[in-house]
Amino acid sequence: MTDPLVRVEDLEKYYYERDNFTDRLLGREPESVQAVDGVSFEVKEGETLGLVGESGCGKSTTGETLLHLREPTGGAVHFDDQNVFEMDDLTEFRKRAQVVFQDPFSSLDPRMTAGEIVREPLDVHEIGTKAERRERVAELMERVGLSAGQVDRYPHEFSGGQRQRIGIARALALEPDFVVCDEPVSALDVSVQAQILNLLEDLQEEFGLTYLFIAHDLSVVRHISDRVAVMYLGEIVEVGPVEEIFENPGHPYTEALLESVPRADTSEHGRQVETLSGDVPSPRDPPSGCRFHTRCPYAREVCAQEDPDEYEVERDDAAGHRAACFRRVEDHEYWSSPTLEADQQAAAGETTADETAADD
Amino acid sequence: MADELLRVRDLSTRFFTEEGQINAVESVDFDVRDGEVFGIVGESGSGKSVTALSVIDLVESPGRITSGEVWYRNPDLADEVRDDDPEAVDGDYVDVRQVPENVRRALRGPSFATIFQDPMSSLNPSITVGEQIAEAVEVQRRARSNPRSTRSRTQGFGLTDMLASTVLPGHNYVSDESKERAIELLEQVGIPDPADRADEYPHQFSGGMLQRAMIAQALAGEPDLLIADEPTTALDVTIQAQILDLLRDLQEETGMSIVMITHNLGVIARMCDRVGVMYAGEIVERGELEDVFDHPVHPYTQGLLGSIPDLDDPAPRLQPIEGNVPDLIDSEMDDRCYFADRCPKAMEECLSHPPEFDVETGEPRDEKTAAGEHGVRCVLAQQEFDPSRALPEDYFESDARRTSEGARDAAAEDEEVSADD
Repeated sequence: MTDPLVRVEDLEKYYYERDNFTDRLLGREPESVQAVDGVSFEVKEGETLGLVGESGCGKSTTGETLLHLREPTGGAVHFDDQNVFEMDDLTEFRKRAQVVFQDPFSSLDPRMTAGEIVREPLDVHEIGTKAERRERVAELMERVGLSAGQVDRYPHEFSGGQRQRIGIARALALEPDFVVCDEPVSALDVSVQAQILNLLEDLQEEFGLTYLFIAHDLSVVRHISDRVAVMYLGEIVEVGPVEEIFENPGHPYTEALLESVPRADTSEHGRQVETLSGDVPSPRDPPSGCRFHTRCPYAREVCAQEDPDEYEVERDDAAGHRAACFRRVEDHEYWSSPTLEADQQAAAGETTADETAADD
Repeated sequence: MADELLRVRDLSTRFFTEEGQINAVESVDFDVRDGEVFGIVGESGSGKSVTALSVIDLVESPGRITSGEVWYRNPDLADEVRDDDPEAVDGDYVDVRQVPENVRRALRGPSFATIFQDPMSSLNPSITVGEQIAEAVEVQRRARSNPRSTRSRTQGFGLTDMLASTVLPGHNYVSDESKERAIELLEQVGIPDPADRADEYPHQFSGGMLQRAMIAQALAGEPDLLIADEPTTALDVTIQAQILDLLRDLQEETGMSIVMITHNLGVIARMCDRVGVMYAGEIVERGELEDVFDHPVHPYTQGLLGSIPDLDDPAPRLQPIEGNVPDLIDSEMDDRCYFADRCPKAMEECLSHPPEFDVETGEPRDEKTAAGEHGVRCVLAQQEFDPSRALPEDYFESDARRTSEGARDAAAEDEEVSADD
């Protein structure tokens, strides 16, 4: 747990709209959607970093871009001190970094058998002889809780949980060091979800894997992560050790997220929840200053003007806990800034609310 | 027990597919009381959505409600129906399963309303949101102005209107009053600038706003019972909290009852007064929130609660339920406890189908005995777990191996069943 295995620096991924030939002919300016806008974090060897946020905040795009499955707009990703985006040959990186996708129904080729799916990475990277590959596939199937006799079945013959196990076996086939788990359990029922979470934990221990665990379910993230990064509108607003984030959230957005989650407990009944007002603004036209100020209960005028840096959360044992909020700085001008009027806040949110629909 | 708005008895729904008969809902009983939130919780394929659809008679082919009574308390309706169908009336209660189709249909809106899981696909993308809500208002208004016309909803909508509406979709049916009421409803559900937003199309709304619009539409008929089928599953947590707040405020305002169907135990805990846990088409445990969450008896309920990571106090390891949800194909459902093959406490007693026991007395419950709130369909309510009578661990596996061919065919079906959710 010392050196970072993956170091992400200012990763940016913009999508452009109105950028086709006709638009250029008509002289239209391309419009950018800032899906990921300057994200930096580290994943240390052997740890699980949870990346959490609501839909449309750019967490999946972050995961895919850092694996170079999407072309980044800017920034760098260092994997074992090598810049992934400058590699001439990605073969070696692909062997060491794998991914488990969210939807076990669409991420497996329906015309391939389970065995072929798990064997494909071995074929692509030409590992072992035919017999060795077959043996390896059987071994992997057993390891993820399927039986080796099921290799000849097609994906539609498996249930959702079993399909996700196939996806995990495929990711493990090349003995990777790093696995991006992109919402691996959100399509599953709770009882099956627990099976898969336990499996992921066991595999991590057995093979010394490093996970980037992307999820929107906070209780799952708390369960599996060592450290957590919270994303909002393409930016990381808070990062720190899991206990810290959940016990002493340093950013108002994290606070609101934790407040909103309904607990499966009788004390939950009739609990008064301070809900956040409004919707997530559109990433086409993100709010000025702190992106959260349109919904933040503590917003002041300075929040609408300046973009907060990441500040260390001042606590004795809070090593590595940073939050992008002025309230973490004791002598910041925030404290003398006038409160943001509610209608100002609403107006800022209103202009963009219309466009959020497309992202949901 | 006059405070029960709805009494559902022995409701069964079957799907007749090419692969065989699927028992989606199997002899379900439950009551919904005035002004309460009754929760139905279960995994996908457990039959919770089909139960709700069966109550309001929206089950589509190849599904069919094969038995059951749905007693709904409505004195006016009882008077109206008494002459034609004396069988279907019991005091103030009417069995909506026995009344003619058109009467049953007329109940949707003023008596029962539904909000569905996916607001994006539940609204018509080619009609403005305001228009769609106004349409619901208009239907209720016309029905109310002529009570007997509940039997023919299309009154006042003649051939000319139909032709005109084909040329100008939607613009003929709705009056100005209905439009105004629609805007009021949008305001009631917390949509800012309702007058402007009413003229927008569904794609211009965000997911949370659409769910609000759908709630507004459901409220148009001032229903006695609102069935909320996974109302927040497609939404983010911060938006989910807003919608749950809204539902609770509306319930306090209007005094309606809500049946809340969800797989999310947290939503159940926040909203519901009483809960039923469904598994394989049956309610396996029911009771007040405290009964089910703090003192669960059924191993399935215990397993569900053990499967979810606790946000405030994470356990080092989750306790999942092994195995998968059964396929509910009739030919494969033996006459045993349907959970026995996944149950860590399966005993020889579990090989015969258990009745519902009262947890307090340990006796099987029926209509006559005044049963307590907490009921469970498990022999553990009656006797302690006896390891000497436990089934060997591979009991069902060896059984399964014998029928593995059947299981392979079944996997395809699994998909269809879960697609309903």
